Amino acid sequence: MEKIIEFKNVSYKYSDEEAEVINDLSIDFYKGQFTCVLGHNGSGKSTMAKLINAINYPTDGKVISFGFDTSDEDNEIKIRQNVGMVFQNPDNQIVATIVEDDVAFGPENLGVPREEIRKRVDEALKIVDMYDYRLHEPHKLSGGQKQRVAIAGAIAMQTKCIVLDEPTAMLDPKGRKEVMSALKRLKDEMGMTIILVTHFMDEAVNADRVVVMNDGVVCFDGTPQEVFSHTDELKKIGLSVPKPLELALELKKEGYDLGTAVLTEDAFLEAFKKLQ
Amino acid sequence: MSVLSVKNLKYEYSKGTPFQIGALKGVSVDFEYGEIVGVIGHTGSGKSTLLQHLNGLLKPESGEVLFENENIWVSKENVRKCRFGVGLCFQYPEHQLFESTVYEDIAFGPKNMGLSENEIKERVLESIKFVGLTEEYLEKSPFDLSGGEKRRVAIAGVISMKPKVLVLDEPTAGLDPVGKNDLLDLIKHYNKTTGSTVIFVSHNMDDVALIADRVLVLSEGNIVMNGTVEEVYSNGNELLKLGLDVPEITRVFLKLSEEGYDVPTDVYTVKDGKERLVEFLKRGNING
Amino acid sequence: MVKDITIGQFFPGNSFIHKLDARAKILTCFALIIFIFICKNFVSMGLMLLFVALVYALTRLSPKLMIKSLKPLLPIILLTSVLQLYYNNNGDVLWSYKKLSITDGGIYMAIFIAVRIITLLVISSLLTYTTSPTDLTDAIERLLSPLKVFKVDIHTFAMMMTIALRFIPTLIDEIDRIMSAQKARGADFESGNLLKRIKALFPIFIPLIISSFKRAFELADAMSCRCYVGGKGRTRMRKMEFTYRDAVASVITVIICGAIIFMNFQFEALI
Repeated sequence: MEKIIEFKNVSYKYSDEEAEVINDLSIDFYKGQFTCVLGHNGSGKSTMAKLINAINYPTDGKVISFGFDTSDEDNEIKIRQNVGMVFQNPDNQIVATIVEDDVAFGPENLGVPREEIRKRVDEALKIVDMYDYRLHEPHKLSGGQKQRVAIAGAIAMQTKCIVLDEPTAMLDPKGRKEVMSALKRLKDEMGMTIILVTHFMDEAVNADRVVVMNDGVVCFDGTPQEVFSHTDELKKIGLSVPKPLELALELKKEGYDLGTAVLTEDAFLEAFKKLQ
Repeated sequence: MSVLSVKNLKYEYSKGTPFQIGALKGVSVDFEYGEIVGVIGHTGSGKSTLLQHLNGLLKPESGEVLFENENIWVSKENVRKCRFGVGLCFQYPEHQLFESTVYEDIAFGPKNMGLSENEIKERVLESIKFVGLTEEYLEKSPFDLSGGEKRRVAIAGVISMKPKVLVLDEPTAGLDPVGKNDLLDLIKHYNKTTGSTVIFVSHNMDDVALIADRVLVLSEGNIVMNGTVEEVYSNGNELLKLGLDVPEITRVFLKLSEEGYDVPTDVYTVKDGKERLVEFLKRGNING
Repeated sequence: MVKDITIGQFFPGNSFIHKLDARAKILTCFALIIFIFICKNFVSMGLMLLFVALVYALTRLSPKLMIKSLKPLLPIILLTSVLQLYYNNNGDVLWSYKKLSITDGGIYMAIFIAVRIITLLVISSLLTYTTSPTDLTDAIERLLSPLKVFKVDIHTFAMMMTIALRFIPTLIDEIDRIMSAQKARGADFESGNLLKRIKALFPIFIPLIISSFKRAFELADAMSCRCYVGGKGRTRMRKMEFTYRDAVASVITVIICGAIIFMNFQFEALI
């Protein structure tokens, strides 16, 4: 697989007095993958996200995004053209007073010609299912809708990768579902590379790859099944595991083995049928 | 006698316009001394509107709110009594912190009640303990704390008024699993120690299952379910129809039941789930 | 509560007036406002009022809307008129008491001034009612762009305006929320002397300022993530084009302005 983002022994601290938030981290991200980065609050996962597109620069080591060193200021625009970012608070990332103007903001900054912007904005809004709201005022939208507008803003810049920093933390269950299905479409229909930072483990069960962070280092990295099978270790670092899996592991202690691939209720059902 | 009752409460936002989200259409409910009630409902179901009526922040258009059997809107004194007797903690309460020290911030409510310095101090010390922080925090600036600590200080700022009813709007929003469980434990502990009634809104069904004695489900301005956790969650399919989530374990049992397995659907914890399934497997009967 | 305040209201629509280019609207409104002050008698002012009323009818917005927004300003209009009544002593004395006297000239003047203020308010409302905030800021940016020659940073100014307009509703919501939260802790904003009331505002403004800074930093990050580096090299999605409509509107405005000058000469001046 094609490597698009590369962390080489990266350390990061906010100031000299404080301890390192990211500690000698080396990790790669690949094209077309849906990666979910899990970790409790303060584990360094958000800081890592901001290192990818040059909002934060490593204090030590190197981050290479799409072939560009993020520490070189001249690369900033080139990196951000490739890596879009969506933040936690839906209110604080929408610039314009009309939805479609906000989606146009990125392409306008890049100097894209007018007709081309129009085309991109309409397409981006359709993918996140917000086209009908294109003339609405952002402050009248729900949290989930605002986050989808923010995602459209990145798509309209034709970024190759989107990094989302806890995009669902402030949303209700309905908004969370909307955002997650928008991300799924992005991956399926556009082949977008997605890096989702979150502390909701249920958002990770359908990811291609799960990275678990703790104290600024990666402690697990693999498929959801591989990572979630470390139930006790995950709980120790403040994360939960999917309840169906937890139930299966409890049943295993009683002599009924359903395996470790039971991350959803559907998977549980399948395993349960086989058990019979 | 109920500590707090709501009788046929009606309230409409932006009367006469098409924007009537969060209206209440005749809600009646009683809250008893010492119970923990979880309130669930999707955004716009009217749950926030209901909460703001409970301590007299909103005045009902019709219907009554009774605090210890007295209509709170009869006199200004009654409203004031209810304001302090029913402590309301908003969503993301850490955004209301403003004083220079944690002590001063927690003392804001008691000061407004007109208590003596000694009494205020006593309450601040008691409250900070309830939220699981040490006295060392009292002299710190609230703005130097971590997000989770700020949340606790803000909740202490409501507890310090010693309300008979503590109302929390999504107390765990934005916290990670550990922070969430710690906070829920603290709320449970507070309820057990002080005997205060706790009413809390949550989007997370597992949170509600963990500490609530009773669950209220709101939908489009009406209470559509009101019962014990088991009673409400056994109607899993109804909840899903209302656009609400059900606990993950309940979803597993609903799925099994749909497939024809003869399993109960009022299960919502891993422990209970294991016992029920083991029981089922030992019986060895398959209907599906 | 605070939510009742609405600033720069815009009522979307599909009328001739709504469809005019925002630049044309700003310029014609500007011209009309100047000509309100050129009107010297009731005939020219009457013509102006009639024209403005006609334009308002064209927007197909309810007249109630206009009346509702004039209501809170009524005391100011009345006060200005009454002052005219008191200070203007031209013409025949109709009624007097000690030093105070009311003349017919004073009454004419009082009415004239009231009509002038109301016309002014209607014209400016016509602009904000029918033009979206985005179009308005866009138009201002484009109209002022010649000032770039003098090294004035018009783009930054327009961007500031856009962000302000975008965040006003968000901040109003936030004030509402913080006020409720502090009220729930027994804060009292409605009683006590001035000093006490000012002190009571601290629990609102400190959290508001803190959160605004947080918002500002986050917004700055979000904007730079979308490659914002100022106005240089930016293109725009929105087209601004003068059409036949704008030509028609401009010609009619010029005719009305001409007629006003003509009426000023034809009839006796009041001022």
